[in-house]
Amino acid sequence: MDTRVKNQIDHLFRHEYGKITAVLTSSFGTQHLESVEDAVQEALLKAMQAWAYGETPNDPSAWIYKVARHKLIDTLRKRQKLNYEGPSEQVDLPFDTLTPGEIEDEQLKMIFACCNPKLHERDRLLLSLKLIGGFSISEIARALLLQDEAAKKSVMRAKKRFRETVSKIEIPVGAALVQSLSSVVKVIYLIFNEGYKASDGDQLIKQDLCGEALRLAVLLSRHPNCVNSRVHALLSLMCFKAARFDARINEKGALVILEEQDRSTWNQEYVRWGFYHFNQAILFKENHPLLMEAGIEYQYHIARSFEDTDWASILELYDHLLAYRATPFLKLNRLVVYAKVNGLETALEKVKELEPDLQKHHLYYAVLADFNTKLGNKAQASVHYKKALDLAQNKIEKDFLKSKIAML
Amino acid sequence: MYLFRGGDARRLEQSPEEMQAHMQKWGAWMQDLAQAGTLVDGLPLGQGGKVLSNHAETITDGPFAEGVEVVGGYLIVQAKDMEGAVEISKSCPIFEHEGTLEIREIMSMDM
Repeated sequence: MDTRVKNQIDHLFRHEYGKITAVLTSSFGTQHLESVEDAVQEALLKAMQAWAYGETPNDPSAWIYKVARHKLIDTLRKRQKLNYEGPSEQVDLPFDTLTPGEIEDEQLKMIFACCNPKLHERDRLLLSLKLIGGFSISEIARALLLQDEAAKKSVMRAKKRFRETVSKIEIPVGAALVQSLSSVVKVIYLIFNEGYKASDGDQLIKQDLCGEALRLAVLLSRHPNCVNSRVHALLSLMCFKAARFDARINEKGALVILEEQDRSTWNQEYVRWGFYHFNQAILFKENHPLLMEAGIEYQYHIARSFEDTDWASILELYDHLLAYRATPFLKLNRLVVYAKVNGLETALEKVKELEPDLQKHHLYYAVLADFNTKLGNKAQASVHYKKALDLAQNKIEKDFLKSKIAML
Repeated sequence: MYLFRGGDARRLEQSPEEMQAHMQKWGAWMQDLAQAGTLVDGLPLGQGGKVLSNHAETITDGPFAEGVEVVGGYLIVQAKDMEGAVEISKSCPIFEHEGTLEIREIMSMDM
């Protein structure tokens, strides 16, 4: 089965939460967001209790929707102490007649609402996880390595700003679409990276973040107004990386670098999707940073082995990428590739030039140490590895550095 | 007959993902009972209801007895004796949510 489809069944409740929250918020308005969420939560609870006895309705979504909508109208009536008749006919969506495509549209509207460019980037991330992804507060806390209480406060504040800022749930058009779409793409990539980051903690929830990012990007790619070269490039990039999700951490929980990964353990289905979306992305004949990043991943995956990697092409892609944004980390990554093409000595000198920008970051010292090890300067390497170890934040990275020191 | 009570407070805090997992546990538990030929019947019960008293003249919304958790569902199983019924019930997922399980014998007509 398409792993992207399997993911949908594995997380039925979580996805229903997002789906139905989207449809109800869209018809009842963002001012009722809290009540919508409570109603959906309660409907899922009912579903859990009723379906546990073995019988699942033919259309689970419609079942949950009906219960949630009923509950919501009930709550709103009680609150307003008058005959609340529900939303006006035009906006009340008859769920039974909604096609899967229309339900996807409602979700997309919600994605655009959560990623409204007027909101802070952090809020966009939290809102997307909570309202579209159906992640609970404690799951968000675990995924982003926050305390429950801190996550709760952040999500509450984000929702408050959401209600104040976003009044209409819609897929923007024209120039607004371009701007919003770029925000959505950015948030999805952010979600993916949060999940992909090698850090200790709950790996399952991290994997779920990556899965959610993929699901959102697939939704975008299916909508004619939303699909573009960037969406395909993002999907390609994420699929290639997701293919290595398990390979980059061994059974002991230790980091395995690309060079040492067993390529046969890469998820071939994700690899195929990576190639598919890459080919779609280049059809648009546009250049942009995501395409360069996807191109780098593409190169890693067409190489039969690490030694076979076409480093010169990757270096060229990094040069293009740096023309868009020359961040110190990108420069550092580029120099690792540069070393493969032009030799360690010249690369080492260039890495040192980055010191003012990166002297507080462990990766800088890890690269220096790696280059020195390969050049046979063990004493130098050891100094740099120890410095890197001092600066590294999480256990997986610290363990990796310790193992390197032990091997000197 | 098993009567399931409570656990609602814990359930409301669950994430959708946890609810699904919990539901699947119930499903698996009941499937095990069915396969063992123990399961006879069972259904979940809705939250609301009516309580009639006073020769059916007083009708109130219920059952919301103070301090007592309402019955959320029932299950009829076949067991050799009370001990057997207790044994079977020990693996019930309701205990994950600090709910309670009450066992009552259904009286037979042909004694």
